[in-house]
Amino acid sequence: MNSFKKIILILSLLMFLLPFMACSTLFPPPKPKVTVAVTPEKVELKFPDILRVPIVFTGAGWTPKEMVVVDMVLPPEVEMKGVKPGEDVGIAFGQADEAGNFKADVPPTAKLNTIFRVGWTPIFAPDPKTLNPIPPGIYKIKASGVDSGGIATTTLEFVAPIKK
Amino acid sequence: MKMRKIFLGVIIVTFLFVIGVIPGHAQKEVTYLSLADYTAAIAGLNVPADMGCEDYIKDMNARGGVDGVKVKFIGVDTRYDVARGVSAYKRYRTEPKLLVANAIGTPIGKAVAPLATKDKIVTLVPGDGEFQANLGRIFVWGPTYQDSFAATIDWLVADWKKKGKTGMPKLGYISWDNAYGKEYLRGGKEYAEKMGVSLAPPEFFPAGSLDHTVYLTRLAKAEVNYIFVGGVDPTPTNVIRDAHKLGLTKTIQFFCDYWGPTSLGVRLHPEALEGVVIVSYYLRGDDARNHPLANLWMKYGRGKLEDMNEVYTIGMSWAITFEAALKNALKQVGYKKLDGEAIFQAYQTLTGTERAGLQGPCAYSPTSRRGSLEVRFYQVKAGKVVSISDWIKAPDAVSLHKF
Repeated sequence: MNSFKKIILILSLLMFLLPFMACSTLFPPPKPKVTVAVTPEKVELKFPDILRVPIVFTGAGWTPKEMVVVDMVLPPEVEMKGVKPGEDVGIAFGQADEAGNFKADVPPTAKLNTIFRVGWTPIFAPDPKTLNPIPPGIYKIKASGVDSGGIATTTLEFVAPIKK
Repeated sequence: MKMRKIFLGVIIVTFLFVIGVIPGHAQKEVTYLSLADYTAAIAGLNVPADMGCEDYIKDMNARGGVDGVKVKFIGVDTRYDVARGVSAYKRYRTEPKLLVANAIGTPIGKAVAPLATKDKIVTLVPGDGEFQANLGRIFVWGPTYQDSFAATIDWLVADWKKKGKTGMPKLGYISWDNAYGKEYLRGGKEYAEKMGVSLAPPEFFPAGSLDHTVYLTRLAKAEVNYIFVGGVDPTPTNVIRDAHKLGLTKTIQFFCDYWGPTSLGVRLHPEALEGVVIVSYYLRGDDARNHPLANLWMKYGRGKLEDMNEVYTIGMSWAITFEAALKNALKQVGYKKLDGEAIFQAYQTLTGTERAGLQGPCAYSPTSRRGSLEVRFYQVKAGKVVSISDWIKAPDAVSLHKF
């Protein structure tokens, strides 16, 4: 191989690699190892009892003081008012403490809007006639850190009301 | 020859790659985000307000945008749910050149504020005086709630004297038992004391209450002369309907706040609402419908003009304010450097900006987060909402309270 060919090959290689190097921001550093867990793991779709059952998310490894948003991933067949197909729905949020631990519970509005897909009267009261609980099943939960971009997942199971 | 082909091939592949990665010369655009409620409790007011905002932006874009920069309006239905509001903000915060998030509802505004502040964008909120007391990147739509309450106290004192009564009147207050309901008295209570108006123990009821008789009866027993009713319509209409049933509207003058009955609400209960005085920072009734900008309602196919909810004008006012800020920001830094910080600086330069008379002149400045300083009084007369005052500068009640 003569020297001209070598130069051409090296130049070609460099030209091919340069865009990748220039676009290194497209490959961000690895995300922190973050966790999320939910208590209880199984929730009965019973109204209004669910309003008295705390559904609490906890996690660790988050950037101190960052906001952690907890979304529920909706299966394609589950329609939700206010949520476009393919979008996740926010059900809780909390701020990580100095040690990177966070805690967030599902507020009553989220239980009504999302778990029971309720309609509202104009006087800020849920309309009991419109209760339309999501189908029982296991739902994927995604916690994301707003600053770190860290993502942790878990599952939350909703079960049909148990007949006693 | 073979090497030349390889070299040419690599150049073409590299060129295509670079073209694919570097954003094209798309049109210049900025983003306005509305964290709204289109299907839940405050949808009745939020839907027409955002229609006004979106229509004005559409019209502005059709006119070429702001110095060639178009505005992308994104409206998200949070259903007045704070968790959804925060999640939606997180989802859209990376939109290209997101400059403003309008949080429709005090709780969503408060939850999103720390994130938006970190992102250095401007957040708009309804009327919380806290954001005037603690200056940041959060701007209130008009005069704060407590300022409007103070203006109402001035109005009722003048009314009392005009009626030839001696001494000072007694005022009752009734609203939702939440942060919004209590905000009016954070400074408003102090203003009443300052003016010598006696305030009966306030009555707070849970949102969703169907009957308000108990609370109203307590206020009647306290021998109040005036009652200020809070809540987003139809709640205040329902409260006054209950007062009417109790016969209280014959002897007590009732007031409503910014979110009191619109002309459409008055049509449903004209008898009960007759005589009610509404304090407003935006045009109401025929003042709103006769405004030249109201033609956008029909231009964008929203229906008949008589069915236009007056809050449509609030939305236009948000958009006009944004347009003015964007213009200033572009002048200062140009499109390339336009970011949240630039729009924040620009919002603070809007002092005195007119919004075609839809509300008072803009009062944003380095020391003010009030959208305007003036309120106007309207009254329900013969089933219509009619103006009974000109624009009046509301007193500063925020500074009377320790936040």
